[in-house]
Amino acid sequence: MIKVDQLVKSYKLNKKQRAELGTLEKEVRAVDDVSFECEPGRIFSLLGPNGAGKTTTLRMIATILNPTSGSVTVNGFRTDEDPAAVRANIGFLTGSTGLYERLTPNEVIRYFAKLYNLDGADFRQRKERLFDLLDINEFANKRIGQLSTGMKQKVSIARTMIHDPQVVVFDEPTSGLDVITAENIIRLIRDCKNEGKTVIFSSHIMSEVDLLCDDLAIIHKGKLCYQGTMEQFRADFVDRTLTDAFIHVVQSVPSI
Amino acid sequence: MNNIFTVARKEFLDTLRDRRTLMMMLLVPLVLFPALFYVSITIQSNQEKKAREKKLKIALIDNGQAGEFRSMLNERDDLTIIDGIATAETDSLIRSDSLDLAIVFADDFKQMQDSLETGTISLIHQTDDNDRIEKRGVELIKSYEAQLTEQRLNTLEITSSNIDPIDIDNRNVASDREVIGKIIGGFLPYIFILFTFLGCMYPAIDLFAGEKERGTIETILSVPIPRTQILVGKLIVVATTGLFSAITALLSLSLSLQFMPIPEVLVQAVGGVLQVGNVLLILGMMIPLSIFFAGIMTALSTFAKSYKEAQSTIAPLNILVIVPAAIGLMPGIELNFGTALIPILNVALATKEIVAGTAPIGPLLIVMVSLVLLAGVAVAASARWFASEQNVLRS
Repeated sequence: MIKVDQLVKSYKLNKKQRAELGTLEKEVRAVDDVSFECEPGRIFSLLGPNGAGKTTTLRMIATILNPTSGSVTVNGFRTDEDPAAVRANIGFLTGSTGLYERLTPNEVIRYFAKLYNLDGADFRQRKERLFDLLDINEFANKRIGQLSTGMKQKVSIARTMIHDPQVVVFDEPTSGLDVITAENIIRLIRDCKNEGKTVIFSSHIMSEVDLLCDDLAIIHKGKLCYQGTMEQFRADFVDRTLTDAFIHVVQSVPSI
Repeated sequence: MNNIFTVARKEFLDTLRDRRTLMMMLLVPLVLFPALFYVSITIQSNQEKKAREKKLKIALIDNGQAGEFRSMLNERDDLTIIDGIATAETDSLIRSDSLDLAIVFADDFKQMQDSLETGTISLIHQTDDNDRIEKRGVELIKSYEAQLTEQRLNTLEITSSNIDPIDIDNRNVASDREVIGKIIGGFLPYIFILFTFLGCMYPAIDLFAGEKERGTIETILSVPIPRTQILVGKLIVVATTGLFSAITALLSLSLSLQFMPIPEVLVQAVGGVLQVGNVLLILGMMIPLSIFFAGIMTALSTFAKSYKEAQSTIAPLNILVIVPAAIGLMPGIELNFGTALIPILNVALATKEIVAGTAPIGPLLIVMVSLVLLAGVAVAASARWFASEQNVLRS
């Protein structure tokens, strides 16, 4: 369960940044008063064009960034009060989350398991299950730098899931991946849902959203401009394709 | 604590598999540096030996004045006398290396000797960086002068003590260790300060800016341990690498000295430096020094957007380290309550004193305390920068 309440993230702008952005404002709001809830066993999709504030929102949920105001609660823990407990409950995967290229999958997974305080039998069991499920065993002792993108992605998934998080946060998890590799991620997201986990993912690929999502929110220029279930979204825009509907929602936001 | 060790262990493994760091940590201090040192010392000593043993070609222009000097030269087998050269030719022949020296007797030399006056002998040579040939020329003339002096004393029927009223008994209370210690003691910190710096540099860049560049920083920040523990784990690796590289450089240098053509007394002095007490005192400075470097570099590397940016920020700091270390090499600059407060220079001066066995306790304590404080400030700065989300995620 994730509860995001009136979340704001603003950045101070220096002279150079003001000139670059063509604004006189001293501050920019990357996320502006955003509230939503993600339920366990459902997939929540955060949509928006590039620079909308998706990554910033997800980073605040994962406690990598601190909100300027508002609050985030993950599985009953507030990010500002108990960030370590929040992180222990979250699996965080982004399209750009890299792995240590000079280590092997075995070493990387053991490292993260230790940092998640996962020990002995529990660790071995979970690792075995993930490695079997994702076919990692055959390259488990090869340096990650020598692996293909698909193999790396599988190791990233194992890394994200090793501590059996109840909440999973995916930030554009399929960006830059070919369809076959992206399929691993899509299967993972589905599995998480079936296991009753809370899933939130950001994307701008409408076909993925169509395939997976139960609830969605669209943000643009930091503001929430649509929120509802996928069924409701389809019903609201019955005469449009999903991509059209998305563009329509985004363009209806008055420019700031 | 466990988390810190987990992070440090992983970073060690990662660092030891990085070729750039390994080169800087092992290959350069262990092989390249002693090799360079060996080559330069060997070339220098060979050059000197050559100049010392070279068969000199000496033009003797004496106009019949040289007499005994000529027969004295004839007896020696380390030179050849070349006659028939005009005074006007000597300069150009020496410049073109056809001659090493020209010794020209004044026309009135004999007459001056007979009347117990001072006669002139000109010594013409080309001396730039190596004065060995000139010295050999002077020695030849001096020994001839000694002969002439003795003859004069006999003629005048006096003894040498009659004209030599004072005998200077020159006693230096500085021990060999002090004299040689000040020389190698100046050089020693120069090496370990430089190698601590270089050893810290690549891991500092790799473990922070490199982590950003490879996109692993978000991954590590999403684990449920405090950021300071991640930082401390990484700092341990950076500082240890610096320390390790400096110790490797010193050990490999002291080992390779055994095989170098240097005077035995110097080898013994180096052995004297490696006493347990000295080593502990020097280590006592090197440890906070490497933590200080690690802290500063980590802060800069955390701020940098990429590996390259970190490299171009940190590498020039080299100058800030080398200059004070080099000032410490200069004679006359000593460790006192003032210099003990100047970072880097204080380490260089303190090492010099420790090696010579003359370290004053007060300033030495100040050096130690100020190093520990500096290390603390650098670590605090890096913790502050690493805690800042703008820095860590700056891209």
